Amino acid sequence: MSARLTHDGFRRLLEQVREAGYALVGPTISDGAIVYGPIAGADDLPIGWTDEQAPGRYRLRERGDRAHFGYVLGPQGPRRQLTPPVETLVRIRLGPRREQGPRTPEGVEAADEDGEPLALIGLRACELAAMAVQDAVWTGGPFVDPRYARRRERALIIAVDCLEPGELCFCVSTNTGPGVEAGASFDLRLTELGEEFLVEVGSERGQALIDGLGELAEPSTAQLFAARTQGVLAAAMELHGRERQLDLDGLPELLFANLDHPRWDELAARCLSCGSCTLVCPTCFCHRVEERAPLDAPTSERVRHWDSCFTDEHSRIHGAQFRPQIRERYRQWMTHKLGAWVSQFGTSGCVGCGRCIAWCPVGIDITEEVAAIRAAPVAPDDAEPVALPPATTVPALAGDPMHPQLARVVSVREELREVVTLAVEPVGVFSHAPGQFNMLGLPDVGEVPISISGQAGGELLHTIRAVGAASRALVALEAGDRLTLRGPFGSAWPLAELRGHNVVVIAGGLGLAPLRGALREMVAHPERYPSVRLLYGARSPEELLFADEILSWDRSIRFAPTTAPAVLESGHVKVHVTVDGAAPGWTGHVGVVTKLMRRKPLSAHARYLVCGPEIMIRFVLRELETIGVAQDQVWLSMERNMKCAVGMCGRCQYGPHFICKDGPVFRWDAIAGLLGREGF
Amino acid sequence: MAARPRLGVFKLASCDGCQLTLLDLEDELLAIAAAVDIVHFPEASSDMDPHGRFDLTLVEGSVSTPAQLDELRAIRAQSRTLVAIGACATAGGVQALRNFADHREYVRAVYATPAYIETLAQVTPIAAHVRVDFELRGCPIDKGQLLELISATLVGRRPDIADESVCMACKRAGQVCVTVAHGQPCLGPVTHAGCGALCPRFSRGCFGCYGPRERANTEALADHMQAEGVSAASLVRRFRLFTGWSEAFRAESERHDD
Amino acid sequence: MVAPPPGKSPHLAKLEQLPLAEVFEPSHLELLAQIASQEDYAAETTLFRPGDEAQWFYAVVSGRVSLTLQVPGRAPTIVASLSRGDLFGWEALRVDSRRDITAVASKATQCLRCSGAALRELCELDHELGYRVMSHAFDRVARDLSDCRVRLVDMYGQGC
Repeated sequence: MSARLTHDGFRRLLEQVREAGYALVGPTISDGAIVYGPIAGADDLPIGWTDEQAPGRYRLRERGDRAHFGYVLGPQGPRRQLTPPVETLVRIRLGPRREQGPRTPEGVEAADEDGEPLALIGLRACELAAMAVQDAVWTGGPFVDPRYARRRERALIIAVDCLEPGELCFCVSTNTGPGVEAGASFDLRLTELGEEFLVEVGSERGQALIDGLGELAEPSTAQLFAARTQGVLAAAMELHGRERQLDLDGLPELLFANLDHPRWDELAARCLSCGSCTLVCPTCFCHRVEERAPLDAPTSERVRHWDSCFTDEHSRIHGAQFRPQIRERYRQWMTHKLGAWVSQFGTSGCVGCGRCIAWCPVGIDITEEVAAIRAAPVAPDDAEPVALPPATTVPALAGDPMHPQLARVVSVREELREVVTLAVEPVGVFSHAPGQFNMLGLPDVGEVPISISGQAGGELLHTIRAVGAASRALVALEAGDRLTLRGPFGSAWPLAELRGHNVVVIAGGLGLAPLRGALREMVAHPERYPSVRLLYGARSPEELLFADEILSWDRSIRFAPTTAPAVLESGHVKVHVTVDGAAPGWTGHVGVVTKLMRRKPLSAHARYLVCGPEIMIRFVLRELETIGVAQDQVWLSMERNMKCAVGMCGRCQYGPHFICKDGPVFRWDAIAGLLGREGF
Repeated sequence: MAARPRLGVFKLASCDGCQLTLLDLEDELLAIAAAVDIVHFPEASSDMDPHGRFDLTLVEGSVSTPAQLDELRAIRAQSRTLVAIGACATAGGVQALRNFADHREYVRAVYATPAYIETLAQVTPIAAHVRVDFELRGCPIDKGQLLELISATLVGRRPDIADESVCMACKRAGQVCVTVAHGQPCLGPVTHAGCGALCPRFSRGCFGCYGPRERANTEALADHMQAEGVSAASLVRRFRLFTGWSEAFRAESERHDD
Repeated sequence: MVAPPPGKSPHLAKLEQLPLAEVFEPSHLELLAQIASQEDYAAETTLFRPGDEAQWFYAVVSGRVSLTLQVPGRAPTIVASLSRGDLFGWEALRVDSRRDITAVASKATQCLRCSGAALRELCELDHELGYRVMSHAFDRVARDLSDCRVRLVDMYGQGC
């Protein structure tokens, strides 16, 4: 169904939308730009104004007519309304202040505040495309962000065709414009033709609005349809004829094959790393989560803020910064937006709106940068596949993945110096697969990802080393204390796939913790796992984690701490331990775990599980390569800046992967191309 | 209950504005006073005790005289966590502009009896002399960040104060970019956030009072400004202001100063 | 080229079973066996100490040898352990060198050892044999060096 509206009819349409209970959000002039903001009605639209855009430049200009939507695009799209830049996720009631350390939580409340539903007015085809991309991010995966989902579902969308594309637009390259396709997600679509609008209805809500206009909604005419078709076609033709294009064909492969292209360095000399491009981009979604716990407030808040892969904190975890250089940050942005996005969300992250070009303070043009790499690639574009599916698929949690439960610490076991195992009792039934992790947190210090190191009945074990503020606070908890828990998250060790195979587990330091659950399973089931060998390295005999337990698995070992393993009889489990250094009296191995690997005859046909610090993993893999172990026989566990744990905050990205969602357990071949590479 | 953590506030060469920010925390001041024992705070009280150990010490101001240097070393020795607050303490402040000239000439020009003036050849931030646990930027500092600093220190975590550009704050606030939309030179892209994009919110370019952020690519920004018609002399003035003695801004101003 | 001596050394069979046998010709192994002797050490026997003349060059047949560094004022630290097939006592390959570490049998251990002087002489007389000894030694030392570099970053102390 369609209709024809005059300016008066359109004015009445907006009044009706407001009367229906929607908050109007539309283009309006503010600070010298046309931005999306609250409007009272049609009078607040930038009638008669347009914008001129160039790289790093935006100016308003009067058109000399009464066009309501005669401009191109403002600095930010509807992302701002659907995922506000600062948003409270949950409120946590705080226990009393303690002599030292953070307060513990006493209750968790959802923070959703259902305001009026939004009517988003004036969205362009590229913005609808961007919204579809954001839908995939926030609602399309195994986890759904209920805040986004609710706002999106309630929002009324009045889209507008582009008949006068802007100087920086390249939506024909990305196939996202200039006309709003009939199948796109809108309630009403407007085409502004002179002093009239052609209105296309896209939903029942839209139809009701048109019906409500009565006489004001005149029947559409064939001439109007023809004018629309012609206008959209002319705009598309104009865009096709432009020099600025983005060739998406084979782009992910091209970019990931050219991670060492000299263009990245050349770019880094110009890029300010200010993050503007990412915060004007309508599809970017990275955010951080901060704990706000003012001194005497009765509650603390978990607040998410827009973040950018151009900031220092984005890729920082305690003691490590994975993307210190500007070249690495820009490369991350572009390889994600135009490359990894495709395997993550089934679409490019670019909708051709040109905002990142206009609002870059130094006018960097993403299309030019891509063209430069395409024109002179240093590596062919078919070098390697961009992504492989996750190692294991684990059912996702229902409900709000950011809403933690309050779990109770049942006991605290001191494992090593500054390392404890918290036995935590979650609320309700909790099932996980070994290798997965939980987000544990306290209201004053925030959350950290902690692998589940075992489950005993209703108790979940988490083995934690005190390294940063949050882990220190968790280590200091006592039995009876409460903490926030979200999980389980991530992929697991492929226990089903390992059945019937000889399995070698190689662990270093605290890397044994995420493996313990899998080892326990294999120890308990000799009929499924005929041979299991654990090669474990630690700094010293005193730093061997779970020493009593792991040595009890190997019936050939009689263990007295810091002295002599002696051979008895053999079962299906063999445990070999090595340390970096020991006091006299230690008769076990001394040397790195790779040296231990060379001492033991390792089969090229076995299956390997590897976990430990990344540097150790890399040396272990090198050793496995020399003995001819294929990449599809090896699984390893990775760590990055995991904050949301559900693939939405974007901070733990590792090439095409989210470590939190696609990992932490990966099959080697899934990440072989990135391991050890700077900037990832 | 254990003794409350002891808070000390000290000043070196400075205008007291950053100390005032602590007093400006009107709504939270009682909570702060309940949580910490304010032992030394000359701006707030004449009942002072600059001695003993401090769990948290806030130092305002830069080091301009030999006496201040001695005082700073003594303060460090008494402090568990020492935080430099404000542009003076973290970058030298506006008084560090004299570092770009011969300080003796200033002394002769300003003081009637220059012989009475004992001053160091250079004004320096406190990190040039003692270990600093955290730097709180700004001229003056932001009270929200100060509160976060105190709250974080009390529970033993690092303050959640992002070392990111002012652009991030502008974009979150929905502030239209003054450079792109109005052609105004702005140091926001290379400047540490924390002010809440105060100047851009009033349609002014950022003048960098929070000092350089990490990875401040001042060269790229200055080159672009120059291409847009900003003169070398103007570039020198822009980078040489409240935080002009910070390493990144100093290097940039010197690049354009013939 | 040195001709294999008449009559086989009683140590040849042991030598042949060590991994190092793979890189030598049978005739070379016979020559090496001729200069080797078998030593059995009870647990906690010290094989050499820092400052000792580096006389012997060892291959572990069974048991374990710990290499220990002693720093005055600190507890001694075992920095490497050697098991079957490992070679140690490299200093003996150099003329007039001394030990800089303590080697202790951490349990009952059997080694084959030969005098460094005799081995060097054999290498001089038969450059083919010498080349193989030295390239094998280089391979092992290179691996040790690589392992040492990994240890320099204190890898278990990182992350997790």
